Amino acid sequence: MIAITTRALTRRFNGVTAVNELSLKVEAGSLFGLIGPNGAGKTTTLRMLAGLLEPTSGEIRINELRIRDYWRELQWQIGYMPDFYGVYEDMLVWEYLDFFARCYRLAPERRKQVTEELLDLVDLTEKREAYVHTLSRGMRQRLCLAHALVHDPNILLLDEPASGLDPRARVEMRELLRELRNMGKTILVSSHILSELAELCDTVGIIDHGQLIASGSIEDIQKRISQHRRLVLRLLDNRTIAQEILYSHQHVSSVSVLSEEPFTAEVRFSGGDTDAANLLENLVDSGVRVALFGEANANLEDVFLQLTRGDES
Amino acid sequence: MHNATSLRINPIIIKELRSRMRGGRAFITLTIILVFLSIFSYAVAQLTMAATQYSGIPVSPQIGQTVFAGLVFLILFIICAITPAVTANAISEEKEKLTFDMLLATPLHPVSVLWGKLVASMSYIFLLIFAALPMTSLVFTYGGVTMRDMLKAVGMLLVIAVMIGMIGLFMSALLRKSGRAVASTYVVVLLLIIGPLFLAAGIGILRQVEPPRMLLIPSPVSALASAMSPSVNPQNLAILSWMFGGTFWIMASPPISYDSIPRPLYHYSLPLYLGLSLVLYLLASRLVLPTRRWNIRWSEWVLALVVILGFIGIITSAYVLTSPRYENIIIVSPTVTPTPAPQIAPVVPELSYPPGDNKIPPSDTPTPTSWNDLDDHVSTNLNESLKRSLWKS
Repeated sequence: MIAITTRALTRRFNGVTAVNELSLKVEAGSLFGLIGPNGAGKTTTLRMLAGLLEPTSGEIRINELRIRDYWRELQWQIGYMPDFYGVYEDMLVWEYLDFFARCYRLAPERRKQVTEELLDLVDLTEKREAYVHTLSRGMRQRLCLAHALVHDPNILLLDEPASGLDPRARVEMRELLRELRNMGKTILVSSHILSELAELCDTVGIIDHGQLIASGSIEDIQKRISQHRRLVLRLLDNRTIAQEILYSHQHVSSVSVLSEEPFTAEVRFSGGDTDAANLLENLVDSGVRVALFGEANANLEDVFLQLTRGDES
Repeated sequence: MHNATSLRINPIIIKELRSRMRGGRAFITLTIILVFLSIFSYAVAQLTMAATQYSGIPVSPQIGQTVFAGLVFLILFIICAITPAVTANAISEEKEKLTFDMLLATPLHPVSVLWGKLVASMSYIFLLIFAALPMTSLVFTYGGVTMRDMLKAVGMLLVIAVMIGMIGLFMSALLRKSGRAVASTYVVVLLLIIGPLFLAAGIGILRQVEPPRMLLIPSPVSALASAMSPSVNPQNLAILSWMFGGTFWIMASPPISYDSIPRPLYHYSLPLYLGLSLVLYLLASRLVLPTRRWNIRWSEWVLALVVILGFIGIITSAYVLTSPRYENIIIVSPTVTPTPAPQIAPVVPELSYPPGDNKIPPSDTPTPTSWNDLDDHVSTNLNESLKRSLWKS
């Protein structure tokens, strides 16, 4: 089942196109990462999905229902967490959750129960009586996330839940998201840092200038954008012979020297695995002592930069 | 989960009151204001006593009236100073902190947010007004002020507070930035207070005529002055006039007329303020919607129309009900037939007539039809008979 579908979703602000013909599909129960640089249109997309912003054109369906027609009903199924500013500073932690529980018209007993459960879930039970403005940024983020859960929605829209967090708080947030996914919720989470979400998301969509550039699992995206594999070589001697072989090889498009001693180079290689094996064989046969021959670490940030920069050029 | 208690307090009111009334802040503000008010009223009482020391008239009611007027006007200015600060950031602050999005994502209706903000901020302002009442009622010990005067003044203050609050909320929903909303609300309130005065003064100076009284309707100061003027004699307020614009007071009081009693100015100001608040509320309730703001369904048009017509109906009936007391007496009973003047026989000195001629000579003066004519009639007849008696003798 598909939890979120958008078709040719477009939003313009005074002639500036923030989101351009965006078509997404998010499977129910999956964790989808919407990734793009600042100003790519992530927040606009999320606000439209939460029904807070009318699309200029295009269509949104949540749980197969058009949001335009069923917003009031769909509100009970969507939990929305804006950027971290979304907290009332002059309230106590429990009051904050109690307030949103009241907004969802929960009965008093249920309200109390939900507040305690959520405080436990986001690990803020001992901060129950503290003022919100005394919380650390990570705690506020978790509190803000908790508010989106008071009505037990099955879809969560989280805008940059991990932005500005220190590594430890980021790990905690990640654990929390994993826990929520295990509870069977569909989660759409935005971020401007790909690696932040890489190991967590089932699917990612990369968005830039309001357009979806790529979507799928992270491995798929990596494969798709890198027709050129990058091989890393470290050679102990016979450098000149090696360079001759490399430059004359049909599948090598470029060689960049990473360090001189020991000689390490990165090679852009267009061939398949057999071609790579042949190259290695060739080198070894020519008397080159190879200390390292392997695929360069797939750097997610590089992938991301490549994708988003490719759009500009 | 949807089923919940039917009687539900607006969560916004609970949230606002929780964060506003907590800690001593709200009550310290209140205490400071009350201390300030009491020092002020003591000073006014002392000044009035000093000013009236050498005049022979009884002092106490004058002091009562002066202190009363001074306090009410001071409260008005406190309202004008505090209400914009309390209301004009109510919506915009939520938008700036992105909490408005969170509220809109809940089933809480945006108009409930507006209503909650209005009720919460007004309850704070009303608290200020009511907290000042016991002190204000000390003027009863001086006399010169009736319960009715007090109720009228408090009523005016409450309506003015609601109007300023609605201006603030409207600006907050319209401008979306707290700084701009607060600043423009203060500008509007200031214009409401001094704008009409400057306009009236300008017209008076340029055209060398008395400016129309109706120009002052929008000014809360004039409205409040007119609500109090039947009891408080403007001449008693020499001390206050330099503080609170005595000119307003004089201009706000109705022109002297012997034909009818003109309506006091506040009879026009009150519907204006209430109407303005209503219209601003209706507009703001559209401005707070996240999407399709001006895409108004016909049922909503009908509702707005019913509300506005109901309001106009209430105001009109209030006018009709009170009109027997005021100038438009003609509207209610258009056929007032003038009662014919009674026929009064002219007084004639009996003895001066010669015998046999014991008869009033036919007069060419017409039969009197009114009191004014009668006067004439009597005097001419008298003159004639006098002349005749002189001639005879």
